[in-house]
Amino acid sequence: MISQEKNETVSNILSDAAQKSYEKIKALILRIFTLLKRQKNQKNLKEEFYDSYIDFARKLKSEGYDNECYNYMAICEMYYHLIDRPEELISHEKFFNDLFNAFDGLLSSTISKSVDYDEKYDEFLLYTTKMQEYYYKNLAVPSRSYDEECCNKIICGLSGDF
Amino acid sequence: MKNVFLDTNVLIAIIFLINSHYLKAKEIFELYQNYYWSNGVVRELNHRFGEKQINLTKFYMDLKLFLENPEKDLYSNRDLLNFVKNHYSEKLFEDAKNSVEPFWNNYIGVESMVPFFNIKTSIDFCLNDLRITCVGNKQKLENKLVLAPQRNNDYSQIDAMLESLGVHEEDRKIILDGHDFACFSTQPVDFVTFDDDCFNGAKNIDLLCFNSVKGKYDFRAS
Repeated sequence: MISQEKNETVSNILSDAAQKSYEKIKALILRIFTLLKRQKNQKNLKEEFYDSYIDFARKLKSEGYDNECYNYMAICEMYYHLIDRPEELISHEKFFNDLFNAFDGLLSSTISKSVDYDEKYDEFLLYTTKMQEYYYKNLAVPSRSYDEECCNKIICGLSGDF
Repeated sequence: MKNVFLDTNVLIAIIFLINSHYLKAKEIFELYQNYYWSNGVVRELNHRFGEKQINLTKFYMDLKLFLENPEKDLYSNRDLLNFVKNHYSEKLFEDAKNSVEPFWNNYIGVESMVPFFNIKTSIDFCLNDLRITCVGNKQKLENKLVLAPQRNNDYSQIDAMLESLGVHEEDRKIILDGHDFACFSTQPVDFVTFDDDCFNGAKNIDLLCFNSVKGKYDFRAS
């Protein structure tokens, strides 16, 4: 998980570049929520959000935090898909705030021993897994193009088999 | 009535669409009336399901990140296989490699070369499915399968024979669970596995009570 070298010194696991990228995405999430509540167009921000989260995910991965990267991508993918359904996104503001805060808590932890980080990561993983289960059971829908192109082949085919 | 006792790999194959044995598993679920499993299969399925879902999610997320900064405009499924070879090992390598062709067939189509942004879109659909459809399939499967009674006999003689044929411990337990169920069943019971060692072991031991032992080569789809 976290390297020994970083483990001894860090109070925050990110490099300056990754931290900057992370601050950008955090600000963007707040801005999108604000605009959605004011019923303003968020189309451009959706793409900006995507680019920013990918940029941060790449930085996380390049710094060796693969699992953190996958988890952050999973959270951002849920958020990204709901941007097109603003009412649902707003009604799940707490859901996403809790998820992003959990990730924030993981990153900003002061780490003295790798085992502490591993425990904290395990807690985070358990929590995000439950949240993802909720999302994919209750909120996620296949995309329109998925329906048109693959529905018979995939969803109907599979469901009909059982 | 046609009854079958299934190994874990058959169940994994029907749950995950992007699986090289998916069509064969589909054929099995059209062939029999009653489907049985044991507690050992349930445990292994839960473990493998989680592992495979994580492995495939990692692979497709890595691929998504890779395609954000593509080296060229057009990609083929061979490029994806090369990506797998260059990045992964062991079980993650196996799961990722086996998913490439079905992914291409189901989410991309018949074209041999496609623009990188089309692949990115397909990856999004695929990742979504990995979470929605696979979990739904697993639940449907759990409702459909009937749990065989707990085995009390260790069948040590057969176990030793299976071991001498190179069958792993976990697979031996599953074969013996199926054998125990077949011995007490009033109807003939087939055993199906997609694992070569498990198939060869079960096929070559006459003491087993199965009506028939079938492997991946007994089903037409590929």
